[in-house]
Amino acid sequence: MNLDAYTKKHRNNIQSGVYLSDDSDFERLKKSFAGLGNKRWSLELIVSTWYQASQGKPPRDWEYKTGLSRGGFDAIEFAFPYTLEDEVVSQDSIDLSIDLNKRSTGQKISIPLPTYGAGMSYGSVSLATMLSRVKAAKQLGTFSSTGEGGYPEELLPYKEHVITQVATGMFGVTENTIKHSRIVELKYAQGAKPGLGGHLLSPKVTESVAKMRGSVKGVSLYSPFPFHSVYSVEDHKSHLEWIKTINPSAPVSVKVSTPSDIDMVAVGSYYAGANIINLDGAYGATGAAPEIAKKNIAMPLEYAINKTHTYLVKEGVRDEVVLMASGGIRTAYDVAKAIALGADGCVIGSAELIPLACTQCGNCESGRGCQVGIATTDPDLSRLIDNEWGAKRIVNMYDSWKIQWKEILAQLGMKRITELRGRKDLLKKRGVPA
Amino acid sequence: MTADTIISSRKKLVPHYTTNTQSPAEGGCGVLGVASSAPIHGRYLLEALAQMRNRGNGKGGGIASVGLDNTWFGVSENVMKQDYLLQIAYLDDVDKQVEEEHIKPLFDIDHTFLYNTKEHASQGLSIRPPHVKSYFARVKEERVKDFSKQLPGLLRTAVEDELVYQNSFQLNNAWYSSLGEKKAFVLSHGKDMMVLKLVGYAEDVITHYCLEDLAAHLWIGHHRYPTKGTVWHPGGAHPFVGMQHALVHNGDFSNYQGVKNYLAQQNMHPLFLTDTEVGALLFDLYDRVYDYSLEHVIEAMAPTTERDFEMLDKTKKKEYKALQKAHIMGSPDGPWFFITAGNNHKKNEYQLTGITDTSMLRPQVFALLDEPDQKIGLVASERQVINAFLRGLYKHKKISVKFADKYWNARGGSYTDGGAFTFAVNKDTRELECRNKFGEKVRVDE
Amino acid sequence: MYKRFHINTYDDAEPTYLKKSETHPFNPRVSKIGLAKMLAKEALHLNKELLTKEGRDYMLSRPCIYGVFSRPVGGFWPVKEKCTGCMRCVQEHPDMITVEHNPKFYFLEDSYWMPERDVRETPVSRVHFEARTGKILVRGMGYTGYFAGQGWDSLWTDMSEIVRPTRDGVHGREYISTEVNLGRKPAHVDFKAPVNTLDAPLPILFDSLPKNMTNQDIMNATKRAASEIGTFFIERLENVLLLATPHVLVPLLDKHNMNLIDCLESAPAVEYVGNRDVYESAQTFGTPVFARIPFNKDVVRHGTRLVEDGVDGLHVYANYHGMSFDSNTFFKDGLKDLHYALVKNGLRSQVSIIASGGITLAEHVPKAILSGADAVGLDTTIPIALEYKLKGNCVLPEKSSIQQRSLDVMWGQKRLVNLMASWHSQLIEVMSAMGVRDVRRLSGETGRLIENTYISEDWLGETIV
Repeated sequence: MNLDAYTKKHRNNIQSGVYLSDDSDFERLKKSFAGLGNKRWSLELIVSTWYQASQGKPPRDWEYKTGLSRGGFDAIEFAFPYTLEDEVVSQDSIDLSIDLNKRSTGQKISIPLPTYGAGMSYGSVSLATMLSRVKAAKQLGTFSSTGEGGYPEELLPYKEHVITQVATGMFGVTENTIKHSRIVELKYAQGAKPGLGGHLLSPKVTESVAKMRGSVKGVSLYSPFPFHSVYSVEDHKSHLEWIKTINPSAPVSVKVSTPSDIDMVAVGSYYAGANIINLDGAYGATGAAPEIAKKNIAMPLEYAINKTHTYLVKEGVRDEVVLMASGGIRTAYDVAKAIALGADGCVIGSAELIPLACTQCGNCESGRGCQVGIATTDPDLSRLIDNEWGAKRIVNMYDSWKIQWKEILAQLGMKRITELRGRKDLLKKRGVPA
Repeated sequence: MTADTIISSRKKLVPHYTTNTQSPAEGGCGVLGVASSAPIHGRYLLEALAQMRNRGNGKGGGIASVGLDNTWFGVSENVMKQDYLLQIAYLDDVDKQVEEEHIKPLFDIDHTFLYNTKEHASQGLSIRPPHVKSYFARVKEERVKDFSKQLPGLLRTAVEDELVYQNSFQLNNAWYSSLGEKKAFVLSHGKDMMVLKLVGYAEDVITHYCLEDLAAHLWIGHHRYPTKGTVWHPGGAHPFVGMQHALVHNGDFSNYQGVKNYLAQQNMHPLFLTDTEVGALLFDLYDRVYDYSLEHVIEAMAPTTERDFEMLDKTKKKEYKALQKAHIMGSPDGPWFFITAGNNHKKNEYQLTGITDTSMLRPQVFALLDEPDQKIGLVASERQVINAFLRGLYKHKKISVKFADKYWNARGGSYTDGGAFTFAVNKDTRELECRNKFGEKVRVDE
Repeated sequence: MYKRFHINTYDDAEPTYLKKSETHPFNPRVSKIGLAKMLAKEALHLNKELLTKEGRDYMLSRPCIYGVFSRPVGGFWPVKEKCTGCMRCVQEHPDMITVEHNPKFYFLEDSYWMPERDVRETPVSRVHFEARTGKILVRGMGYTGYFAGQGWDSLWTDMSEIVRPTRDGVHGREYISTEVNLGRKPAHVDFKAPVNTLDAPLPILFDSLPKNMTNQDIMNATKRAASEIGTFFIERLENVLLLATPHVLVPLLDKHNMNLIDCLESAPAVEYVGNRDVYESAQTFGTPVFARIPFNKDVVRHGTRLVEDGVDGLHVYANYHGMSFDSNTFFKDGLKDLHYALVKNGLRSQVSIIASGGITLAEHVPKAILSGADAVGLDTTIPIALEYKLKGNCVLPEKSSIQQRSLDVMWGQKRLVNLMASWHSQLIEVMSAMGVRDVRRLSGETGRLIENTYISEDWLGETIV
């Protein structure tokens, strides 16, 4: 008997607890998990995501498309002109891929599905979580971002699938990390705490986190906001040129929050040279942020996508820039709706953690962190996640999402997901006949 | 109070105020100001402005000059001194109509001047620059008499200034902002000063309007970096004018609506949808209408706070506190850096002033060169621009050195320099002096 | 020696008057039979290893890292207050453990303070957190509530992106001023005439509560908190005479108590409700005079006329749910209308508007100011922060009441000071995100307010709330 046995016991319990199948008793689960969920991630959505992570397909009878927030994605649905039985399009031939660089310079990169993984930093999440995500990204042929906490060397074997993030704290940013990444992500702001930089509270700044970030153990880390070299659009241009000088072939993604003039920000970013503009909506998650900022600051993503897409079309530059949406994208249907509103694709955060047994309890920043080993670097807790298991769970979820996207496109009579972009006319208020 | 009468006389200009929350185009991005005891020819600005192109995108550029060479314009020294130089940009063939409706009723015209221009396509400009007409004009006596009745206690020149101001507003309102098609607008209307702008870079203004041989005591140049909109209008470029001052700006206001609301209460309504214009209007309000000293104008726009405030003497604290209480609602929240060039009649000086806000997040550099026969003051977004300018003068043997004697930055809202410096050229003696917000002289030997 | 404005918080303002069962959102329940069965099964499995300490530890290791099963009897007697709703225990033992919402946590009937059941946090629990710690609530995860809502929940504050700077992380180098000068200011300065305003270090005042919503202890605690922070407490004149420290008290005059004004030596400002006579009494000390007017259909006409007549400011009050007294309009619209009416007649920047009624949470403060106020008044939040319970649905002030009980005044003072400190920090968070460095520039700055009614119209052509 050794310490590992405890971990194994709990790990096995947790893994079986979130393994769901058609035999699982949903009514029973609803009773036991009565306190689970909230308006965005409802009990049904969380449990359905566990199911999808177990089976690789959507559940038959449980809610897996929308939450309970009464607005945004939850207030709209597709007005399908066809049914699946009509078989207007053969689902096998549907193309879910998108390009991540539409400018004439820089490497051409495309991914076989319209999503990649959002940045979650080492320190805010465990290495096991990062490895699960990046392994899944490799299997899926897409990318995962390192977040702002530096580039752990354990990720190097997967570097073809890693996006390195340069954020305001500049943690772990070196010429090498920029040179060796296929895509570089500049995090100007973050939806969950617009106007604020990253927060990593002292109990989570462990020895290894401190080393990675070039800081001191046990000292809280607050990243500044904004980049202190960027206070105007001409500064932004110089900033992007700095990255492109170090790595001329990597497309650059600019991650921004959603102010009321997001359309101007986006077009300014385009002129400054961005390849990807990543709108991070106000309802996204984070390791730690003031509650007042999450709810009250900046425009919800659904409005921002629409505003930005429409404006870029008007300016005549929409097809040169890739618009990615993130911040609270929970299901395959949210992704499809975001694309219909005008995004090229989505960047997925929390939805990749639910398969790993996340219950949206919000304890991420406290003390040692997450009790299932996701949002922590505590060595004991981190061992609760086996990254092979984690990768499989995430891949299963995306397999289920792919099935759903194909079903959606088939019912819209579309052969490629790129046809869906900007088709706001296919969306209607939920519950109202078209 | 005379200020109140001026403000209420403007009520009729916009009888129905509507709350329009349209957001402004962003402020732009590269600024340069030159003041010299001996007039400088336009050609010497070309290299410096070209050096600053990294801060613009060629979608808007403008210049202003003050203390002009009257012979170049073909007028006498007296006319240059006394007359209003009403400079109008025509985007369409409407000059006859505009003259009938807005110029002849108010002014007696002494001289009409037309700039020589280059073919714009040959310059690489995609949008034809405005056709500009300059009118050297005096306000009609009867109009002055009439208006004086509404503004008792005001000096004649102040009455005339206000008449010209209101007239230009009406012209702009009729021919630029309320129309779908923009046809004409006032570039500037002060005495012994002029503003020109187009869709291009600032140096394109100098080459297009053939200003290479025009000598002036003060110059300011500005490159814009707008990104919004696919149709560029010269009206959106800087500088903007209040009355006797032209203003350029680098930065953005985070409280544009608030400042607009504040101006609306003084019956002032910006027409060009940029925050820069609002800055120019505020400056004019504090300087001309409220008749504050430059120190108080600067304080109203960039209040002194925190420890800097504590370090002030008792009298200043009282004055500044009163100014802050009255004007903070209308003070632009930055970051911003303004350069103004103007004709200060009361002090008999041409004044070039650089003012930085309290956050100091826009770059600014000041410089002073003290040659035996010429003193030059400079202010710009970047030091390299200042050096490019001096290099040009040095190459043509106008000065004996390549660099300024002194370079420094202003500290916004400070008790030390107040975040602002003025280069003033005395109109009679033609001597140049550099002063900080508090009026203290800056010397090269310190 | 210059000191930046800062409120020192207390770390000993612990819950005192609430029942323990009311303080935790979750109820973990363990089936004792199921637990016993499970332990027996494990014991059989481990067999000989039970003789070792490790074996026993293995069997007894709890699934909860927060200490819910930390008692020696573990799952047989869970420590419910420690449950954070993480659900790990249910994941591990779904047949044996249930975690539900604790119905006792939702103990108020007021629909503004307790709009929903079965959530992990309510406005009441948030205020309790702020009053206990003086801190800003920081948690992981995103926002978990409704997309938008009614009232203040239909608004978002704007933020500044890269083009404008904001603050340097949480502990900023930049100065963000929350000082307000309430009262009449000239349009332009006459340096010989003094400008007399009520200066508060933050735009939040304590407002007077009707008889059934307060008591002597509450008033004392409020007064002490106001004094410690440097802000002000508006209270009815007859009560002001009973409380000492006149320099923090703004007496509220009406036609019944106006004659008592002579009992006071001075007051930093005076509020009044009523006609000209009361107004004249209010001017006794030559300090700023604010007219207290209700938010109803007439508020714009009423307020504008009073300002034109010379009043130094208006204190507009809505009902306790932030609504107009005679129409279905929310406060933000009333404030906007009043603000713009005063802009139109050129007087807005010369007077001040204080707003109260339905401003109950920290996030309402910047929203109310952006809508058109200069400062806000706290009302129902005061007894809530002091762990009082409202009786029923409290909409009309005069018809509202709390469940009366005594109060440790010193503790009460600490709670209110903490609350203000937390709200001050949160105001700075919001302002810094917006890139506005002075709260006086925020009043009526509707360009930085994002309203759901307007943007959702652009979105799908109708308001979706």
